[in-house]
Amino acid sequence: MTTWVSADNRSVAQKLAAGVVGIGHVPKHVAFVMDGNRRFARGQKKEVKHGHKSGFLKLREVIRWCMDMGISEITVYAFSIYNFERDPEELKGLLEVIKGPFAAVLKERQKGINDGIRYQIVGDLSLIPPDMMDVMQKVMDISKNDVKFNVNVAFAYSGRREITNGLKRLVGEMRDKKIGPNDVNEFLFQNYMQIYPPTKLDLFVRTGESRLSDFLLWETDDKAVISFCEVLWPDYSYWNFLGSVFDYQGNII
Amino acid sequence: MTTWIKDDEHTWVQKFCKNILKMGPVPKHVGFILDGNRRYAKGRNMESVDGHKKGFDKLSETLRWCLDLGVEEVTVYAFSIENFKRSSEEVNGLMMLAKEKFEKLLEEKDEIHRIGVCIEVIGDWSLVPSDLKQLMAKAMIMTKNNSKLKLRVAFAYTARNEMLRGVNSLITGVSDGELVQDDVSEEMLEDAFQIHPPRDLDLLVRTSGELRLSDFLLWQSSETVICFTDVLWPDFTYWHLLAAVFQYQINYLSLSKMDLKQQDVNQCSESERRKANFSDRIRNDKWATLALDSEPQVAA
Repeated sequence: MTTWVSADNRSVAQKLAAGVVGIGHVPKHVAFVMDGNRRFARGQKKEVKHGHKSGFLKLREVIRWCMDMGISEITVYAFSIYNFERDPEELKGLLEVIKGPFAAVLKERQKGINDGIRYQIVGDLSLIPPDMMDVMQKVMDISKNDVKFNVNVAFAYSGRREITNGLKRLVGEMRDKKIGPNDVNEFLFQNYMQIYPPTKLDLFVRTGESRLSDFLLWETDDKAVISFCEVLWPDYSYWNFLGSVFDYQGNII
Repeated sequence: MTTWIKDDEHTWVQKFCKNILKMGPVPKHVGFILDGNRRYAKGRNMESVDGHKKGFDKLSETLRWCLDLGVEEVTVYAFSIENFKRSSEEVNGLMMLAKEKFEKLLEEKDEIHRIGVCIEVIGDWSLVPSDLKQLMAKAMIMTKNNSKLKLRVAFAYTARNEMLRGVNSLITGVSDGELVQDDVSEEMLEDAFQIHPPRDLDLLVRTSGELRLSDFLLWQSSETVICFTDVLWPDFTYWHLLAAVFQYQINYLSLSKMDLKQQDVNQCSESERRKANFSDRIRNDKWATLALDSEPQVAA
């Protein structure tokens, strides 16, 4: 058990069900849009920051469930570029909730505790507050050779901006790398997306609403199975998780 | 009545429910992934192509429903680039069906103008047989001034293909000196896509129970409410459509209303002039190419 990975708290029935589901194909790369923290807090008559903290606790559990299921990579939507427009009080609380776990990873690694996770931040890094970027960069550097599990945290992210920024970089490198218009195909372009190495998305899970919200537009392409789950993110249960994996299994091509 | 848009045959119950829904927000741009024609045919011991014919009839009904609900744009996934991998018999059958329907559309010119349908075909036209391409180009030119309902047919299409062609268009622009690196923005990229003016999808309906986007309108789906339904496309009913609109209405309230388009780094008038010229040039090229495509091809 570490900051980002909870203990295995599944019941016997859940472990049994997991065993059955695990017999079928398991997705390798899953994306999560963790929506509903604020509504969760309002429902509990607590402040919004409590909702985001509960959201992180749920993420720890989900990382654990994914590891146990044999999933090797997840990409989570922590903070959209649109979230910068939120009320300053909430924004401050949200940024603290996100920064805390990253700072904790550095402390753990210093003590020799290694969760085996490779962390990557995907998003418009130029928009991230410098103190946060500093911590996040250190975490990315210190974990870059870890292979047990990949966690891509989408921060200051927008799918459209990822595509546009990729294009800008490509345009900047055109001359040096002698790339002409006829050279640009999917295989070349995917190297300009931020998740590296580019891994196919198998399953896209979203809680709360039935939309993509500008997340991983390029990566969703044709094969990713989309699973909408009406619960609020902090209420996403192990049964909901098995349901999402089951959706994937029912739609493999 | 035309081949492409059925007459109004709502029952009074359907009209009643429609009027209730119309009191709430109605999606202006709806997308349909028309999936399930082949399974429908198989279930009835029909040929695949007959399933597709039923699928077209259903489309014609659905367009009437959309028109009456106040939907302004409908985009349908008629044929993906991936579908070329199907058996040549099925692919040829689909091409012939498309030809037949476009020929009908051109014949029914007066009705089409009366209803006010504007047809747009998006996709990789280099993959489309030239006789079909000619009909599609004629249909687009013939209907371009109609404005009651825009019907966009995605044919030989994938979203990534569309995005990459937009990317290549901008790269060519930079390489030819029409644009500089700082002119590249979300807005310019959207401008270079075939869907123009840029129009996001409000609601996407996918039939037959598959839970994926299959590379359809990925860029335009960023805030779209997505409705997956198990029914096979030829069995899609008015109630399924109303249920999808209802789902849209439930999600509408929490729709992000922020429009944080990337601020252009270079907003000086010279940059605006370059971008406007580029935009005009690709628009003119598009209509010039369509005019050429609408003429019979001379064998080399």
